[in-house]
Amino acid sequence: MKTIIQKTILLLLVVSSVEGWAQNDKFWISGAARNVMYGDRFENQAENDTTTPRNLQSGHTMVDLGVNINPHENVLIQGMVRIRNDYGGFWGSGVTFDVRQLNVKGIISNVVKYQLGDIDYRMTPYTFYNNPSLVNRNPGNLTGVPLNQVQYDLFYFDNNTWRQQGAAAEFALQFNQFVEELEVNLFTTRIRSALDHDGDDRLFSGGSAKLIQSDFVNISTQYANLWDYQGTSNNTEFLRNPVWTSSFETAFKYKDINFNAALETGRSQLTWVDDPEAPLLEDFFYDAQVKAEIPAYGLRMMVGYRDVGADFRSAGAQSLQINFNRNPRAYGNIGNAQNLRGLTMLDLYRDPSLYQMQIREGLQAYDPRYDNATPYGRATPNRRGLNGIVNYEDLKKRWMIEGETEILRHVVGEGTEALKQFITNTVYAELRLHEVLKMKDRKFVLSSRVGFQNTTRSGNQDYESVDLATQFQQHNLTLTLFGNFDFIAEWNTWQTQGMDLMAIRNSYSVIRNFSEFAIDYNESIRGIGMQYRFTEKTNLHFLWQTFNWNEADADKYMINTWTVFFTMNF
Amino acid sequence: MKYLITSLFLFSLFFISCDRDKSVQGPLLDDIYGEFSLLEPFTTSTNAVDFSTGEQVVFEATFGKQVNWEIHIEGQTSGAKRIIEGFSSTINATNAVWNGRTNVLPMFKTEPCRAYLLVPNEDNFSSDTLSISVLGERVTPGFVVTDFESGFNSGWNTFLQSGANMNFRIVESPLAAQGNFYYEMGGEVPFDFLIGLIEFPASAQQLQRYPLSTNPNNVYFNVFLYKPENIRNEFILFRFLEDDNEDGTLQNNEDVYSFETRSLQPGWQQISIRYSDLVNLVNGQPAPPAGNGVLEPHKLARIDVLLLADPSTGYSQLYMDNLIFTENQPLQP
Repeated sequence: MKTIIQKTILLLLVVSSVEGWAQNDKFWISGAARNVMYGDRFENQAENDTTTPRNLQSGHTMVDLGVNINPHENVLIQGMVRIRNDYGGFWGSGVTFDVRQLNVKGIISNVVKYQLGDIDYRMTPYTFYNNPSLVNRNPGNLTGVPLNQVQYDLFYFDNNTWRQQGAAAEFALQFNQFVEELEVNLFTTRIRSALDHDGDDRLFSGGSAKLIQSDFVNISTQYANLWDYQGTSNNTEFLRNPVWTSSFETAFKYKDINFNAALETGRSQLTWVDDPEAPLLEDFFYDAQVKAEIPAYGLRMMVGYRDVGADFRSAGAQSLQINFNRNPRAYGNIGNAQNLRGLTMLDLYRDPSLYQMQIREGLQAYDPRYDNATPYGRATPNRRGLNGIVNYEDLKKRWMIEGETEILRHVVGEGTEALKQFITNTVYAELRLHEVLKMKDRKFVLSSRVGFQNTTRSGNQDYESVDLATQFQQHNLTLTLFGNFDFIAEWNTWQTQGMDLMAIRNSYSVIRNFSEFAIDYNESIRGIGMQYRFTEKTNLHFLWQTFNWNEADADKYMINTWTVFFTMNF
Repeated sequence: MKYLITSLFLFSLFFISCDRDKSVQGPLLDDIYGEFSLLEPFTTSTNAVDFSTGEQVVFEATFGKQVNWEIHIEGQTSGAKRIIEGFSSTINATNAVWNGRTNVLPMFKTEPCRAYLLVPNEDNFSSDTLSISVLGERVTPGFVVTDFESGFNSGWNTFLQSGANMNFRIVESPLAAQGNFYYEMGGEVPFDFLIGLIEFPASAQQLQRYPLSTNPNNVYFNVFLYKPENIRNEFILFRFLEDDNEDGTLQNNEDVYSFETRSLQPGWQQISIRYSDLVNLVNGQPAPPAGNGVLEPHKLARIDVLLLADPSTGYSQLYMDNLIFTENQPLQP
């Protein structure tokens, strides 16, 4: 272990020196490095488990080395290699080399920007958008450390892009009168290859055109289509999932209030051409939002209303990050019977194998514990209702509070004419004690997020009634002890109780049956840790967490885990 | 600005005004979880039916929710079976009509039948058993080569090897797939694959050629075959001899198309083949036809049926019934 750490540090020093040596206009190196060590201790509290290992250790050292070549001013070539050594590998046997990314970007005639290879792309929440699940949306002080790395590995970035392979181009036209500019973006990417799957090449293509009338008004139209490239295999059925949307946004100021109003509306189709069994699913949506900001009072508000049809299908916007059909790698089987262990919050925060990177047609299965109201983001079909956010921040930045609510209903019933109602409420508060106590060069922050999500339906018959309630809360503490050395702590709980009837869909994403989902469980993560900030991009964390899973009439176990995390971006 | 807002407003209206399917998504919960009940009992429109005149039987029943249901009809003499299935809360003329067809051979004969209703997901449910007398058999459309009901036609030719237990004959039995007679073929020939054959020339029906369509894609040959439980070595070859030059004689330079079938299941089964799927076989392998090479069902002059078996495998046996040509689709028994 000591040797590995020494080698890692040596490698990073070499990388740093190469960076310094090679940094020039034509060629430079960028990337990231990471060293992770986990130590888990499992305790089965449901039975005298003599089969599951008590202690597990794992970890790896990893370096992403990116080469940036700028042969001339209008072309940039980027290539990144990942070198990873899992603990336990010796003399190279545990070392893997992967190409993490390759792309070429540039400008043609100072007009058209293009990018080939790996591209990170998004459009609107209804066309092409990478939605984090509710459980992942607000990671805490401790849980956010491994989750950031998982998201880095999977190319899930804060701007909600999906990593794709293909080509993209954009250009803009400027006008003298009436409108300022027209921005045009086009892309096409290959989702799967006919060589690797039993089917045609599947492409995802589209683009947008945005007309900027002025600083106050813009109008845009978007198009995205997941489609099979006919003739690339012997397949005789061809997926088509086009989505057309149109957006309007206006921003203006009235007295001291900044207003922003936006509307997006559109429709979709989903079918498999030449498949006599396949239905044609068509539907539309609209989503209107009004935002207001009063900087003088530190107040921001948003209210929105949306209606997304039950048959609205948009693969680029509805694909899930989490593959809920998978099981965690750590302690995948537990108990004397070695039953499969279901995924938990702890796993979602640190196990990249639970996620997927490709967009998928139709609607994937989801776990209602972690978001039953909007599992597919704003584009979740069969939802209609209001949402709102109020945010107040103290003008001296000493504290802030934010409340968010979403009250949705089914547009049409599932299995009955009675409609389900989904209510999600969250309150977040942050107290910056270092500002209150006027502690210079230190951070002392307390924050809490408390929320619940209820799914209810009542009908004439008992079997129509559902009632599923999820409650979650997260409390964080950050305290700078000295210099760049912080003490951090987190307490995170998630619990769900009740019953819902979940739709079981066929391969065409049409409901063919319902299954009863009944649960009474809670899980929690409590932990403390230290973090040292070498620089803004280089951190060292030492974390200790205890995770508890408690499910009525089922599993009850605990995993204590310590983690060392060294992360660096360069 | 106002133009922009107006156009956007109109554009949005376009989408918002779109029609939407407001029907409930998925199967009804009432059908999955609702309590089962029989609101109207299982009945039949008649207790006696003559299918030969086009009469039908209509079954009726009403449930308290939609269910999967099955109506079983069984011939008391032949053992013929017909199952009508559906998923609905009402059984009536739209989904439960019996016109004399069968699912499991033999075909229904003039015989007493019983009918009962099953609801597979309701273990405790049982309906009354209804009696229906079949007064006349259903007439299947098509050109009948033979159903062996009229005895051995003197125009047919047979050839039997000098083997053991050779048995090529018409048998009368209520278990015949159609009517009361079938043709039995059996024997043991230790020196050759061929056990015996029977030829059905069109001339046996006072015809020069069989009166079939000119389009081989529309013509289907159908036959019922029965394999006894203990037979493992059977295979049967059908040959279709065309009179290419239409001179009334069959010569070696005219087309012969064939198909053979093996590995039959025990009991009666229907074999149907589209005329355009026939090929010329030489020693069991496809080969160019000797004649004009054009599939011409309207020139078909003779059908040969050959019972074969590996000489080392001993006794073989098959029954055959109801050789019939149909148009556009296989025989619907």
